[in-house]
Amino acid sequence: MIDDATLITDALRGNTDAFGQLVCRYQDRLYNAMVHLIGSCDEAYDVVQDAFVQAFVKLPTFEGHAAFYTWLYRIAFNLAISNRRRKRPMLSVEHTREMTGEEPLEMASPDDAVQRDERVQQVQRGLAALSEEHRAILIMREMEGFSYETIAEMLDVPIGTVRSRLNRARMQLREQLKEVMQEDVK
Amino acid sequence: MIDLPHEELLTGYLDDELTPSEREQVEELLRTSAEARQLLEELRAMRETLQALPRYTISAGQSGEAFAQRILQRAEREVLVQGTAAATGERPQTGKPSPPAIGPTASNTSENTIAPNTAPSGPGTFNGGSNWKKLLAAAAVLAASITLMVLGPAQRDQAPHSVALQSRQAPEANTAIASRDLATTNLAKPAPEAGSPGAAAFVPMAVPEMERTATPTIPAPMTAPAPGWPNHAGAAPPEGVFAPGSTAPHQAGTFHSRMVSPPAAEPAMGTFSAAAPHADVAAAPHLPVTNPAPMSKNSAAIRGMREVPHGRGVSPSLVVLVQLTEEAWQSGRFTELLGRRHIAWQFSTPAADELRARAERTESQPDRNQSTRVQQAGPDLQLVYAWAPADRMQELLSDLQSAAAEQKDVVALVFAAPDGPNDRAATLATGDVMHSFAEPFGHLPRSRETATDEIAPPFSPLDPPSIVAAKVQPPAHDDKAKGPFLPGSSETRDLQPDRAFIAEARGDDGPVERQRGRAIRLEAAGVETSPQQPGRQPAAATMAGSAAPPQMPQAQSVPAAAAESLSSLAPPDIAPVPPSPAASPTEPTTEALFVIQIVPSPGK
Repeated sequence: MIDDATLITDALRGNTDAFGQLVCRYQDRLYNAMVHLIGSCDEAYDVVQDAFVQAFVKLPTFEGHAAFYTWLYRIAFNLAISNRRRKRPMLSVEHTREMTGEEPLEMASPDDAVQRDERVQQVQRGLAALSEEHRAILIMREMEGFSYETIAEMLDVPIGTVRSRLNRARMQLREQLKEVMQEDVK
Repeated sequence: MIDLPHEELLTGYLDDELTPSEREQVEELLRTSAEARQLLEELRAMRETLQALPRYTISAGQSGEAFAQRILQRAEREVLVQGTAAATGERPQTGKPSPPAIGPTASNTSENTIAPNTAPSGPGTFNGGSNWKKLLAAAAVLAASITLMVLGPAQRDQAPHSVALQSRQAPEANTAIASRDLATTNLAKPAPEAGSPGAAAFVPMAVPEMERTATPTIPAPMTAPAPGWPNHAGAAPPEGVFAPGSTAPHQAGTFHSRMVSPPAAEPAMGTFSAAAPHADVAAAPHLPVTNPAPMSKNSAAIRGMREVPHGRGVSPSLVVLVQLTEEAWQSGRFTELLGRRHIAWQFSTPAADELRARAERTESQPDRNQSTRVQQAGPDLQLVYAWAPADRMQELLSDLQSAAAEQKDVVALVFAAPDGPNDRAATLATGDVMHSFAEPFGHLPRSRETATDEIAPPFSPLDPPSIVAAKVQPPAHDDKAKGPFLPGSSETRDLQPDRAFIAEARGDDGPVERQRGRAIRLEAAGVETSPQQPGRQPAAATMAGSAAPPQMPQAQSVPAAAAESLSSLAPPDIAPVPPSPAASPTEPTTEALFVIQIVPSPGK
């Protein structure tokens, strides 16, 4: 598999297909993160599209200090936050509905889906109930696996803030999910 | 009670983000505090729960390449816009990164690092003065844009250069192209005001033609909107709630898919949920849902945000003849049923267009029989093209069958399949269907030339074997072939395409070899024409006048609900059935053509 740096170099030389490969490589991962962050499949789809377009446009500014996906994620994250601020009144309805009433696209099996459905919905509701900054940092850490340093860079906060914010987010979610957590611990 | 600093340390410990001394501190805490151990376990379990959340994928309903292609098209337009703006020096912000590389060279001189939202683009970026040079340049850019669009992806590498060359002095390009994009897509995505939080993030949407539109669109009806059209919007019914988004080009040039608002009684797009069917049923008292369809994992595709991977829009594997009451049609209950089953549908199809063209041709012919046929295929005959995964189509057919048994909304029903693997077979067979309706609804089936149990090849690669078993059926009830197709019954039939029309369509004047008709067996619908299936009610008996609903062989089809009257609502506490095995993103799409004859309600 061609590494990101090579594809970026090729794209900068005019090979748009190389950028297309980057899109294929990261579209699902980014989309999943944005769905959980935004709580709307439709908006996440738009954000991911816009993020890739912006990434393409700004590719010459990418210096490679961070991984391409990290850079891309930050673009998408900022777009999502901007869109969310613009559309907040609409999101509250759609957010709740989509976070709790719509099945995801990949499930292990129908049986698993039935068994996990309630817990998944609880987790998604719990995530949705968090503040934006807490939800964002949880997704960055737990789903995306970004390091504290990367998160700090993305959010433009000190690493110590990352740790404290992440802790608060976890404690809040823990409260939301106490029921689920107790089942897991048993 | 663990204090805050220790909580944070536990968080860092969990993430392996502690210094060695902090780690020692936590390990000491864990040795001495059961509460700390408990908290750490909980945090670990929570992490696992979060990481086990189902993954959403953007490529469920389309290939990854299709999405990437769309991105590149948009990006190139964006580059074009920004490139022209940069050339004229009218970019309002300094520090704007150079346009990306579409071409042999790339500017890599920007000092910006990660600054994703520092560069607004879109309407409002340019001042748009009245300078004649600017106007000329704008015209040049528009022409270049059109050229770019015409050249297509294959010429992408070459096109931008010439475009950029022509558009160096085109300050209005941004606005012009953005306007064109908005006009093309009808997205009406409002541009944020300059300086607003969203301004930096705003990119004018440029959605390909096959993508959705947000504005409800009323399609031109196939025929003059006369008595047959439902009254959802005071006009012709809208096309399907879902965008077909076929990845393959449609063979007829007149087909354009759109996603429009559903009928008033139908749940809004994207709102389907496990609880939704009850509300839907309440809104539409007839056409019961026997099996409240749960969202399957490719629901997003069905909702229209993704493309249906295999829809071709020209080759239905099923043709379903439905006699529907005028009241049911006009109130939109049929289309509501499609919506509740998450089945994509539309009115205008290549097949329909071809039929209409055929009707127009034959209308002018002196042949009396042909004229009669055309007249009968008038406003009381509607064609609805639908496509969905196999399980949903099965459920829909079950719904219709139970409705037919009750003779409320659905008076009678015939399932049929085109004969032969030809893509055009459905179109051609539909002519046969219309002929049957014209005489009137009751001279099916025609004589068959079937005599063996030979297993025939599938009709097309799209036919899911779970639904269509292409099998030559013995002539089970040839003696009743001339009899009427009675109301309240349902039947599975084969259709023999109009071979003369095949020859005409192919431009083939030579003799057309006759093929044997092939029946299909819809196991899910419980319709069995073969007398070799003891224990099942042969369709011939149904045709002979029995109004009893056929046995539903699939236990998961909620037999109680299947036997319910059309007029009775599905009880709110109806137990949702276990979801059908979830369709994979690559599951073939079942395409069906519903030939709907609008008839008065029974007893009127």
